[in-house]
Amino acid sequence: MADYYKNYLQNIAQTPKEKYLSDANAFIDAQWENTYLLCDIEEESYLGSGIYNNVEAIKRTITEYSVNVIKDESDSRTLLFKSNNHDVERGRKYKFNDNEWLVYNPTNEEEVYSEVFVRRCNNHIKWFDSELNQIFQEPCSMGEELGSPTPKINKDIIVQNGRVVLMVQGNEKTRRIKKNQRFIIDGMPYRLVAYNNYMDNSYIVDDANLLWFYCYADIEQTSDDIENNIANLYEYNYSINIINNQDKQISNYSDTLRADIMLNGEKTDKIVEWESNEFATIDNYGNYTLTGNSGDVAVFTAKFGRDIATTQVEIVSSIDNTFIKIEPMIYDIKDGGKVDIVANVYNNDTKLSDEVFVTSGDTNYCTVTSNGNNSFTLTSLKSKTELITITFTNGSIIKEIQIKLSPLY
Amino acid sequence: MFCSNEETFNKFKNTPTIPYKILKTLARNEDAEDIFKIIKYPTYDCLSKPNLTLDEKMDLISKNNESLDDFNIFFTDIVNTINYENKTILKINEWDTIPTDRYHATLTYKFDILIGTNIPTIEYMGVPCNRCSVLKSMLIDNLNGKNVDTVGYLEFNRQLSVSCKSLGGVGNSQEFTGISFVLATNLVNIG
Repeated sequence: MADYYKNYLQNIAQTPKEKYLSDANAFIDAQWENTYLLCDIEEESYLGSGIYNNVEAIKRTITEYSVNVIKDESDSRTLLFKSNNHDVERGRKYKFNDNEWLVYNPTNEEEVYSEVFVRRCNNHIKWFDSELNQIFQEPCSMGEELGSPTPKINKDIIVQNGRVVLMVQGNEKTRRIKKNQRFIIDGMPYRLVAYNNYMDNSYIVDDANLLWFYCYADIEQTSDDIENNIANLYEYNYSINIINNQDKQISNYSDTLRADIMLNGEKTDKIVEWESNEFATIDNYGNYTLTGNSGDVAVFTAKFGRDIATTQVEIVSSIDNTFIKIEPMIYDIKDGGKVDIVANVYNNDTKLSDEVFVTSGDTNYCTVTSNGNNSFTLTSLKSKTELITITFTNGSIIKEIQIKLSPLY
Repeated sequence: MFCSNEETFNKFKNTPTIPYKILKTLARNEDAEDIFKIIKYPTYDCLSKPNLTLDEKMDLISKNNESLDDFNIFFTDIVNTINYENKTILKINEWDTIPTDRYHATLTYKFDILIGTNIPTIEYMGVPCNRCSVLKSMLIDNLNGKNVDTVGYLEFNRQLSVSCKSLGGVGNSQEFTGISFVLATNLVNIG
């Protein structure tokens, strides 16, 4: 009897809170189908995932939630879910009625039912992330606070003295946006002047799930892509320059590729992602091994953001591989700096004792000093915009490299 | 009497690079390590800190950045959006150009050293000293008489230019204060 009662207390009995919640949920379950407001909607699986799952909800309209915005009742809805354990945080997105919606009022534990308030995203922002070389797009709810309609007078043209408030989900992409970021919304430029990102979700998850951007009307710039609504796109021209010392090699040959990411013609310290086709393997550092057979062509791809570059190595059955190898390989020297290198002649993997001669393409900018035993010191006398060619020779074997004499900063 | 043709007139096309050369002179000089330590470290014992690497020195320099709070060295005299509280700022900019005749000109460069209110003192030669004074003395020591690719040297010399002097009390009396000084050099660049 005691065991039976203990089992009852542990497994069947409910606390008053559990009973109340259970009864409330049972009522909702019983009435769930008894409404014309029931519909299927798509719910983001978790904040920022971009993956949507179907879920049932009772969808109702509500009045607008703040003043000084353009009032449209079809922009605000409340969603009630069947289970009172269906927790939804602020900032989660939904899709229904051919629109995306943002949760601004999440579920909370004080209510016996799970209900959220959502706001329709009436536009979207597109921006170019210059660090990642990616174009991002995010739906937003755009309201406008018009103070005085007096135009703001600046030196060039008069712009509207109005503030636009954007509400967007706080996710990995949008949290990277900084002040002074410009957006072009339907051909109209805006500048982000301030943002509210301090309404943390909780003390455990201390990122803000919902961000408010305060933007002012701005003037067009020549670097804007007005047609595609991307601000300052033409200001950042990335390109990838792959340095590949081999155009033909034998199978199982290993070497290293290097890729320089140039921004507006200047080398950056960003790194690419490497991929290869089925005739080679390559790791994140550009170290590759040819795995194909003679006649195959190994193709390597370097990616950074939306730019890619490719290079290839033809796999041959044999190769007369006498070459000059430079260690370490140098690509730039800062103004006033020196680099020590060694240049030796190799036949495949065998180092030969042949003497190598090195000359600088412009001794007014870069000098070469021989230290004996094929050891050299390259000195940058001053920076130069154009690349300098350094030539290594041993008889008929010539290797040229181009180095950048970069300024100190 | 000289013939009047293009080659006998002074040329100024390289003068914009002089502030860069000034900074290069400091960055590549082992005797100037303390200058960058004073700029970077906002502490009383900044001179006891380790030397900066070349990259760390260059990271102090602003290069058209939108957020100025991450930088300490500027090539402009307008730095109005910065928070001075625990910062040491060095501004280098062209001051005046006096063409003495068609071949010669005297160029001057102004150095502004600004500090916030919380970091006025550092330990120097074993005693507490004003941060701005120490930095000024080190800059003048390391630049006075140095060649920055002009004719002659960069000089703290009133005979070369009456603009050469040092002036204290540069600040807004509330958030930051500092010292400014002017160095001069000759320019003869014909042909």
